Amino acid sequence: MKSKIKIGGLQFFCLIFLFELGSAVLFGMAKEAKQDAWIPILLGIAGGCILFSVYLGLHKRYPDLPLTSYSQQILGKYLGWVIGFGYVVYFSYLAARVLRDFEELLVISQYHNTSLLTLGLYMIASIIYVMFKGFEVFSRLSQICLFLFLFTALPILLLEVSAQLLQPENLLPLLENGWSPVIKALFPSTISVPFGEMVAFTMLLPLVKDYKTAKRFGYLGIIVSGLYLTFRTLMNIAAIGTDARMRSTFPVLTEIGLVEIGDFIQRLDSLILIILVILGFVKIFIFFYCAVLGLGDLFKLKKPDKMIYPLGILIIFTSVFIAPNFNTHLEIGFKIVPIYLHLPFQMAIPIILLLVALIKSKIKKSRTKQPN
Amino acid sequence: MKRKCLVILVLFMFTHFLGGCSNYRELRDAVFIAGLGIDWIKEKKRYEITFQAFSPTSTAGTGSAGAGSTGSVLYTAEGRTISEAARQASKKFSRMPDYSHVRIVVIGDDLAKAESLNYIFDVFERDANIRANIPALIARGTSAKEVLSVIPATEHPVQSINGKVRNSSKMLGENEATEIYQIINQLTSTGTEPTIGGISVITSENPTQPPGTKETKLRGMGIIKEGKLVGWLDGTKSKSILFLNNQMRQTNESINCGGHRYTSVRITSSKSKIKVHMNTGKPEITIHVDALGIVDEMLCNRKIMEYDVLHEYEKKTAGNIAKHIQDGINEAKKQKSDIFGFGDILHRQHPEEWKKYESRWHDVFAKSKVSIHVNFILHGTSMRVEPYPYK
Repeated sequence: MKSKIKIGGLQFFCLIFLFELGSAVLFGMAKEAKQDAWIPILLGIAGGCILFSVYLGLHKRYPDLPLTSYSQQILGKYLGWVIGFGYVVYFSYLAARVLRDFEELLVISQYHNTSLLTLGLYMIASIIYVMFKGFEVFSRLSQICLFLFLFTALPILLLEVSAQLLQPENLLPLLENGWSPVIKALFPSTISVPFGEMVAFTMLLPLVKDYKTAKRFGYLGIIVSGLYLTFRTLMNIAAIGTDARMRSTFPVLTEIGLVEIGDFIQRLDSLILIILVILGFVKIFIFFYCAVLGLGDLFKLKKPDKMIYPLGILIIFTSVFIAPNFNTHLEIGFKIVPIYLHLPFQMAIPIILLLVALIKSKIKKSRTKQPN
Repeated sequence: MKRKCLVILVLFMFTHFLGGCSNYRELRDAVFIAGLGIDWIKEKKRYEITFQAFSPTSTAGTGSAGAGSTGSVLYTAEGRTISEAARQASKKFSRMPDYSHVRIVVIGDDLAKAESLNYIFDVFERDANIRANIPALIARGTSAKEVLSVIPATEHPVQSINGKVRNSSKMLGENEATEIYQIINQLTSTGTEPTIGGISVITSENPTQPPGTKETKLRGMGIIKEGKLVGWLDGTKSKSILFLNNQMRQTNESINCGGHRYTSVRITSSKSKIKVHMNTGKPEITIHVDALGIVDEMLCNRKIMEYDVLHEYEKKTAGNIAKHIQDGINEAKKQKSDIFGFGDILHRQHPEEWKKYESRWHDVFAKSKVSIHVNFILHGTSMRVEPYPYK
């Protein structure tokens, strides 16, 4: 929006960390790999770093432009514009999907009689409020959120250990069915969610202070969040076992529900809900904001802020009408979206863009050299 | 501008007040269910659910509960599903039932034997309010309704049952509270079968009570096979489960020391290691138990100071422990139900072998060869060394 926005390294790290955890913590990742679910996540970090290096490569060539602008510069005005618009739709769709995830979480776990629309409205209203305050405010907020997260996540870890909930033998046997289920879980689902979703940061990289900060804290964010997710998955499997993990809608809530110490420390579900809502807030905000940025950029709006309300309303309604029920929503999310949306938008298009940009600069160089 | 701010502020405050109005429930309109009993009515092919609730009036006031009243209310309802029965019960409830404080689930004998335990626990997992980490018991030789109808003189029936389960598992080590989520995991796993504690109704022998007063008593651990109750581990045999699952907190062994006199040895900690491997189609199970204990009562005169005597006690105790474990395993083998999870251990230790035998593990397990090595160390004799009369 305004080119003056500059966010620092720590804030960038917080954004990435909270963004990556988002819905990955909620649903539990790589369920199909059973007790080895942590391996694809660990390997996914490498995949995430490779993808991020592609995004960084594009950013290095066009340090002041978001993806929607340089796609036009690389692929020409018309094709680039269409691709840019595709990204705007993609980001809004993802925002709606994540919103639906969290609406369902709240309805299923606590607010049994509340409609999805109401909960979506509250979430989007608070997001819109922060969005009008600007991205800098949001990135500072993410720092507070990280501390909130740490102050809740660490006690939960201690409580789980002291409730003697963790049974490490649940993690055995290692690689029971060989590498194939691990690889299947890794690609495309684990690489695309959450690591590939970093594609949203192609829109935000120009807002980071400088290239060096973006590079350093970007990789750090991916690695730390990936390690946390691996650790989280290990804990989850150790606590509730593979079978319950496969069957439960929200494995992390099942896990927390079992914590009971001395008859009075119990029902920590609400504690974890706070964390989850914070993570959802960050994730929806980033997708939503990227969509707004993209729209402003594509239509050369002087005040992209004007797009916040219409897009917000669109996201709320999309989130409700996206699927008739939660199971269909999950089915679409696990079977269709990774292949038809994540694969092209997170991997294919950025890689093609980078290749074309490389070839173009080569041609340019050779042309400038020829006269000499 | 000021006016606008004020309006916004008032609206903002309203949202806070109204927030409490969604899903609200007054305490005076709620009844808290403490225990659930599930029975199977064969003739009607329906579940009969018994709800043992905290009586709203007697728990509210301190002095209002009269002597003898322990604040319990019992309801029953029938249904083809547990949820249906719960809704049907609303015809009898004057208040909204709240299931979030259920402390115990009792399963009727008929349900466990004739019907199966598969599926009936689904609602405990699926519902967000009721929890899955509550212990389950089987009403041995009776119905869940009977068990929950026994009202002890001093406590709420559910508290009383819960207390018995907890004490017995802590002090005696013959009963373990198997929680619903564990039962579900074990029912699903092909390499483990669950064991569920039994509770039965007996006539009180307490002379201060009127004759014919009923009491509940824990009795054995039920062996489940493919979702059905097939047998019981009684008495000291059921210690095998706790020893092998490393859940033994305390128990005692009575060691004969000549004639009819015994010495009591308290086992204070125990750790077991199990190895399973296949040898020409038969599982070979090697069990190592390391236990520690003290002498806590001597009813005979032995020179316990001497190493040989001490060592003899150690050996005898180790033999006792090995016997409990052997008896438990023999019983399980007789029922062809792998309640100790040896299949899961084989699965973890030799995944390839496990795949070959997974489908017919019950029969394979029944043919298994077991070797038990117990290493028991006495580390003290408490406050006295030699017993009296001292010679």
